[in-house]
Amino acid sequence: MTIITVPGMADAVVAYSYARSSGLDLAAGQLGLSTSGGMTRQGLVAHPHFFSGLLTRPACAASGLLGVADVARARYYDARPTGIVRDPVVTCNGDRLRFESFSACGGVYARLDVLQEALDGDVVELGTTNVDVNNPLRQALARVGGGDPLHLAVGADELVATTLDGAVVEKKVPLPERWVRGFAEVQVIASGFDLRAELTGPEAVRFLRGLPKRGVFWAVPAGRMLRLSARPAAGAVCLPGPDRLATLLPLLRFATGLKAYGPAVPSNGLPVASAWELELPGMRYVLTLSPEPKRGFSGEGAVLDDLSTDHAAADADLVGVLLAFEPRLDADLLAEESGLSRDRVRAALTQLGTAGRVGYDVAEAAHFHRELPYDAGRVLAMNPRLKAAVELVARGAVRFTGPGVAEVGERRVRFTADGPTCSCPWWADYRGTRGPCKHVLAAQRVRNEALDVTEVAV
Amino acid sequence: MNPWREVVHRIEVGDSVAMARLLASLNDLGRRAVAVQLPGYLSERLGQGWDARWEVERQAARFRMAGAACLGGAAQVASWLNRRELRDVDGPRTDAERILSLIRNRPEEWRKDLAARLVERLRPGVARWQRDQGPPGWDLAAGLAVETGVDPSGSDAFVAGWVWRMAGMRGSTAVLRDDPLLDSMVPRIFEADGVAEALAWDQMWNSERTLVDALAELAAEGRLKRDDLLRGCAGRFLVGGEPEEIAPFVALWRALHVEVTEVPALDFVRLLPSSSSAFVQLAVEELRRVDDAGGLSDELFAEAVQALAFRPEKKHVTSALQWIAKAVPARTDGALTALALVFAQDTPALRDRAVRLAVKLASRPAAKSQAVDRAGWEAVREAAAGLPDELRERVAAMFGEVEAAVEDVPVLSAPVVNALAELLPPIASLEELAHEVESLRWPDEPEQFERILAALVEMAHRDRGSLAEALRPWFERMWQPMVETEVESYVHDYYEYYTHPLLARCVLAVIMPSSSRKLTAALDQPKVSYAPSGATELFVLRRIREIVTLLESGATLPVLLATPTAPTGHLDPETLVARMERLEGAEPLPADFAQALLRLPRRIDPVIAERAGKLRSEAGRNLAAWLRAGGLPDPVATDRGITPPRIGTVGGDAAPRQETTAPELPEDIRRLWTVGHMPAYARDTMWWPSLMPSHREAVAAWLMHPLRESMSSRNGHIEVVARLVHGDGPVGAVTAAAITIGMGHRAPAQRAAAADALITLASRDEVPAADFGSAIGRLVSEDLVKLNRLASALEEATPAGAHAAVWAILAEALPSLLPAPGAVPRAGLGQLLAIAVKAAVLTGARGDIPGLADLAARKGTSRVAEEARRLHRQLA
Repeated sequence: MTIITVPGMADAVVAYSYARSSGLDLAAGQLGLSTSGGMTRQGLVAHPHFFSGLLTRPACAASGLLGVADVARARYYDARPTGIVRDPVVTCNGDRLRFESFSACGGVYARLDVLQEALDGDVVELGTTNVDVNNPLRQALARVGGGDPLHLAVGADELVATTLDGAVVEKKVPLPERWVRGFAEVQVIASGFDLRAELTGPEAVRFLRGLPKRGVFWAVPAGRMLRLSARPAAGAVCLPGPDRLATLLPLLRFATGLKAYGPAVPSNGLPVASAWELELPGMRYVLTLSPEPKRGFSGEGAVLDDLSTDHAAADADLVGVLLAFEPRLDADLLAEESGLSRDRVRAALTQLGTAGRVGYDVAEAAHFHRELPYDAGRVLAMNPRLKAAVELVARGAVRFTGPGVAEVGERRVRFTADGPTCSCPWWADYRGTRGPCKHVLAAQRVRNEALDVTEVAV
Repeated sequence: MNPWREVVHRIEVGDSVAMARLLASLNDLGRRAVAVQLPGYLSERLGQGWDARWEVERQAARFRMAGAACLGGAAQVASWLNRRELRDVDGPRTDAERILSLIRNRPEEWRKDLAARLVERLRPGVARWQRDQGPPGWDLAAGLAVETGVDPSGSDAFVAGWVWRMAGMRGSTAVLRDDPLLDSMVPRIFEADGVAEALAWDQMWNSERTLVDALAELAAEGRLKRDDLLRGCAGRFLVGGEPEEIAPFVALWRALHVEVTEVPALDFVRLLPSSSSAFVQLAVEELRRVDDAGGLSDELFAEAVQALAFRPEKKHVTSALQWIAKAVPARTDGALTALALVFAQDTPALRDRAVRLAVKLASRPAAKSQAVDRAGWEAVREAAAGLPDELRERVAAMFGEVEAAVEDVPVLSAPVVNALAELLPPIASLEELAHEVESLRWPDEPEQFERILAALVEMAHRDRGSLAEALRPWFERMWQPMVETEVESYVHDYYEYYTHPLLARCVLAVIMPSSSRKLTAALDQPKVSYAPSGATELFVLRRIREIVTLLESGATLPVLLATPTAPTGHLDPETLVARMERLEGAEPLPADFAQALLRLPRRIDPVIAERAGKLRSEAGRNLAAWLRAGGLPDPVATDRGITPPRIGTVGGDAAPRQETTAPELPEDIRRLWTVGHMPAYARDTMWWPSLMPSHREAVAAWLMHPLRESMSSRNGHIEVVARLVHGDGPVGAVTAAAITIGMGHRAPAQRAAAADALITLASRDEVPAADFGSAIGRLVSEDLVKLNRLASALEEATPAGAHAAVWAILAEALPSLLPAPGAVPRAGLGQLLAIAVKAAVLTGARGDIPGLADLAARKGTSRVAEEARRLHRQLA
């Protein structure tokens, strides 16, 4: 994988390079997923080989992979074809394989976790990269059925090399900055979710098959079921654009349960993001939805508070060294090993999340290590709001006129017990639900600097 | 004249024929001179503003001709033709012919290069209204590709454009047969993005002959390879997609009259679980043919019927049952597994049939020996646990003992109420006010209006000059003709009878009071046009209009009285008194005062009444008297039924709640409490709950007509009902009728809102069960509410903590819903009884429902009888 930035153009291009196309030979029982360049424990590798072995639940795994591939090509608010598909991302965490994709509209994140119970084989290497998905592969995946195990190779192994003959694949796809930022930020947003509801298999079938297509709803726990309501209630999970859960439907025949995750219901009643996880035999398939179908994850600003501290970058570097493609990152352990406080580890994980270097698994309620094969760090450095805030500070536009009151350019920022507020129109529209605005960030920076100085002086 | 001047002249005034002649007559030198100056000339023209840009777009055809004829490199010409301003052109076919003839003398390699570039630059996703033209530039790309022999099939957008073009031919075989691109396009129509939409359009609008028909015909006559089409379709089915994307290929498959041996049985079986319903229908037919011909293995049969049994569509489950009925003994095991899946169906007919089939299959000696104790056998026994007693016993008799499933241990939950969103803090700054005014949302959000009105009045009082400055940018956009010319252009009902423009008039009154006065005077002239007549709507408008008048007069008030302090619309009495004190003896605006009174809570601390006693204004004395009287009296609301002529009456002559003398009721309030013959126009219903938050029945009475009128539209106003119940004051017959209408609404989202309302009432122990009972009885007998819809709403509310309320309601309603002895039960009664059982179990209800014992005693396995028996047992 190479990122090409064209000077003067906003969007970079990602170039996938596969030694052969991914393929599935049903008669031979061989599924070969080709890898593009990606990060492993050994550093960057052109075509890493992560796993070779049996998929013990081939029909379910094939269905799940199709779901991930479908999300990658979807644009949910506008079904017209874009002709652009960004390949899914695979991570080998040792005890599991994770397949991730992010919709073209930037509002839906999908992940299939194939757990140890459904794998029988050898982990060759740990790491993350893209996998090739093509039309013949999709057709072949749709034909998988029955119970016969399937040999899976992620990256080339000998078995696959002798059975499947695919030509070299080179693809270039535009890589918009906001798409990469959304893909990374969705992890940080999900880390604020809690389990809100749990349905059994039959109830999951009933609930998901009965959903309306459009609209923003709140799923309110009612006994063992969930019921949809137009307005939030305590314990509810937001369900914006239920049609975006469509890729769960083909998996229902395997489902043993459904879990819904979300943040606490906000008092202003505005829609929020949520995650929907289908329990499958030896697998989990999770979809994370943005607060509105027309709104992507990027720009949610959930991360900006943690990013605006000065030591975040250094802490992230320190914690980053300790990751080692762990499937579950234990924050306490990281704190111990790095010698940082829990809060600073949390901020460091946020920083790593936005850089695409850790994901968040709602089922485990833990981060996991994966290196998104896009240069999210570069994108992060250009986070427009943070950049604007830094510029405001540099221009000397922040002036504290009283305790907790700052004039930032033409706007007024107040720090109250309920958090900061600003007089700018953007703030009035979103009432803080999309994170701090550039004025608040700028004022925070100035205030933090002042606090640091005081600390030193003491 | 030099060549460049001539070309410019032709671009600007000439016609295309003359332009073509001119360009053809140019020599190399002339062409080069044009090429050098053309791009700069275009940039210059585009730089002259929007009008100039439109002008350029109108002249695009001639710009394109000049560029194609004169620019040097193929890349340069491709970019020129793809420029956004030049891309769209009227008559793309003529355009293509003209350009093709202008570049015919270019070297072959150059032409090939251009063809490839034009094809590659085509983009899908054209605007809907022009999609049948294909993507812009398609005709030229196609023409050049044909002339040069470049293969355009790699571009999805090109292929989709070709299909759109062919779809326009109304299935003409002759045109299609001779189309030079036919052979390269056909294999790609199964893969390219955007093709399905064109085919679907063709299927919908060319009902007599479609492109699909034409393709099948060409296959039949051998012009196309039939096998290619078959394989293409099969591949497309595997790729999947939305139902409307698959449907054209299903049609093509049918049109090809496929032989049994040609059906890819394995693929079709594997697609049954997840494909669109239209394809599954086809697949079942084809697989049945294959099976009849002996071409389907027992394993695939088992996989197929199991997949069908799990489909959400009843018709596919039925197909599975029909297929299983024909199963030979060797297939018993797979068939039983599928039947076990059907046991979980809610539809009794399907379930009963599955049980009968299972027993029949297993009773065949040959089958029994094959299947006993195998997976299917066990699956049937396991699934039978959840069946009703009678069916379960039948299964047990055949399959061995079945333990009844432990009745779901009911999960009792406290009602989960959808609280109203908290109020936002008052608008604190001029810039925030300006922003709110700019971002007024549609439809009205009363909370937003209230915040804006309060801030307008206060800020005008504090510093009118600064307020005017802050609002000026928006004002100038909104009222530009007013600024420049005269008021006449605004003399229209719209500025008198709608909330948004009335708010704009407030701003006008702040900034240009004299123009505002002129406009008001002009609007006050008697008119013949429509004026709203409902008191609720008029009251909302009157409140805004009195602020216009205040601002026009140049006077100000320090504060508005009625701005709510709670999300229900309620106004804290202490805050009201404090606001009155800020008026310092000045009289408040009358509608504002009436609105403030209406928003007082039902219980008021006497201390506050005492404090109000010190107010000096007439309104202040009135307020004090009302507070001493314990607030406004309750209106009497009677639900007169939905049948004409009257929709609900609220009498204003109710006795006060306390035996004290109270002042005369303000005229505004008396009107609001009299719902007359005249139906209220339903535009502003979202305002109504906060008009009278302490008088829910009155709000519900106003809502009756809009509710009745919109029972089948998407906005049924039920969200307003869900809001109003959060208020205070009695709820009775009218509110019950309003919620019942909501529970009977066609749209699931509206029914969910009605369930919300019911849950809210249940959480406050305020459900008027008897009123619900009679409302349901009446609305159902009038055929306004269907039982299955009612049942689905009650089913949502039951586990959400409203089980006791649901039971209380059904206990009241059922006697009028149960059939007379011997009569046919109403449709949906079984479903409703099932909810009654659930609610009764959760509540632990006992007792007797008149008519239930008779129904329970009926013979048969209908769902109604079955659920009646369960309910009867539960209540015994």
